[in-house]
Amino acid sequence: MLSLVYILLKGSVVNDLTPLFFDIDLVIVITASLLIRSGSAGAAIFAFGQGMLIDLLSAGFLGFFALLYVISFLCLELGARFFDLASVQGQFILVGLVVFIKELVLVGLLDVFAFEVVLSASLFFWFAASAFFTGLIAPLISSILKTVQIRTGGESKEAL
Amino acid sequence: MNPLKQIRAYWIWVIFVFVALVLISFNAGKRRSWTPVEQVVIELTAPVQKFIRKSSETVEKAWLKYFSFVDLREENTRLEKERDDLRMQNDLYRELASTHARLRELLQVKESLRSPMAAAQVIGRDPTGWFEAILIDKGTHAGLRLNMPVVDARGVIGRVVAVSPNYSKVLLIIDQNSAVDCLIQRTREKGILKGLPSQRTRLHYVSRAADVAVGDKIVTSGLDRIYPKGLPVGEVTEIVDTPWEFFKDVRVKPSADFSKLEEVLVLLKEDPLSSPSQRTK
Repeated sequence: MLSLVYILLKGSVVNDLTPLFFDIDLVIVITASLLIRSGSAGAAIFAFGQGMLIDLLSAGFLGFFALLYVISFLCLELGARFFDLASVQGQFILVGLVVFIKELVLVGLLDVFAFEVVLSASLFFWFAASAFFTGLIAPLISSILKTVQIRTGGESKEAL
Repeated sequence: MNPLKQIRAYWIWVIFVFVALVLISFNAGKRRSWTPVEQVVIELTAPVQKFIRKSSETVEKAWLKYFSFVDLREENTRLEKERDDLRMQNDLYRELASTHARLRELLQVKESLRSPMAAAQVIGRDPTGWFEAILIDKGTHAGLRLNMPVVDARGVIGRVVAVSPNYSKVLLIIDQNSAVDCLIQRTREKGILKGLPSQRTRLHYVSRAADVAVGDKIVTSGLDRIYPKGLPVGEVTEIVDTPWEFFKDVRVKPSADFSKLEEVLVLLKEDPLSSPSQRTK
């Protein structure tokens, strides 16, 4: 839900306020969080679904961002073998790294589809900034989601 | 009381009345100034009267000031609120005036094109930042179909690429997936306008022999069967003529301001790219 709202906000407010290539990627943050708590299947479905939603709203090819986020999920899954996703440092490093890789893969895919992308130092600077700040907020978002999950879980148990 | 004293008091009263009557009788109908004695009396008493008067005025002023200070705070709060309300109203009126101006421009376009149209509001933009598309609040219920051209008061915006009952996605002409068959208005040279990164466009396939200059207006040719002929698209801003290239590199600044899109017009014409069987459906 948080990710959905963020995607819709990106199409109306966020992109007007932030630099063009600066992208705090909440989809990857939430995918990482789901990977810790719900396992691979839930995280993969979420990543694919959010990618499809972005495809529906954007002028890109259908499946483009779905593919991109599935690749990001695979990177998270592989990275989780080397970094502890449950720890703050692990989340910061791995999420940041995956966001940076995602941006590079995005540029590569755009090139494959004959899109003209001007590769410049500033572009890579914004990629790095996006990776850094997304990594920075990842533990925070993860802990918020954990709290929400515990509370809603508690409430549903009480209701039962 | 002693009767003698009573008589004396009586006589004193009579004398004073008599004197007063005499004075009245002598001075009735006459205007005279103070006598020297009267003047002395006045000179002595007037400063005291003045002091009393001033003192009472000061007290009165201080009293009124105190009350006005009490009222002032309330008045200030009321005026601040009134000012905020007026500011808000002013902003609202400005916004309404701006919307009115934009809609009037759109209406002029609608009248000049003489084609059925649907006005729509822009409700969102491409969330990725890499592609250029907008979402509008009209869909098939308003008669929108695929590949319908979208314009605003300044010129061509794009075409409808996806529709739902109440919403549509419009691919902007500044997107790299977009292509618009165009003419250079002055010389009638042809070219295909495609998007470039950062909201710029390039007119492709303009031969090196073509007569094109900076400032030339670009309009739609109508050959792509999507956009009607003669719609303004943009203006040439830069021409690079490289000797070993077949074509000139012509950069075009779009007429429309894509960063400020709010209302657009969709030209309700049949999808020229669909098959006849699809059209009858």
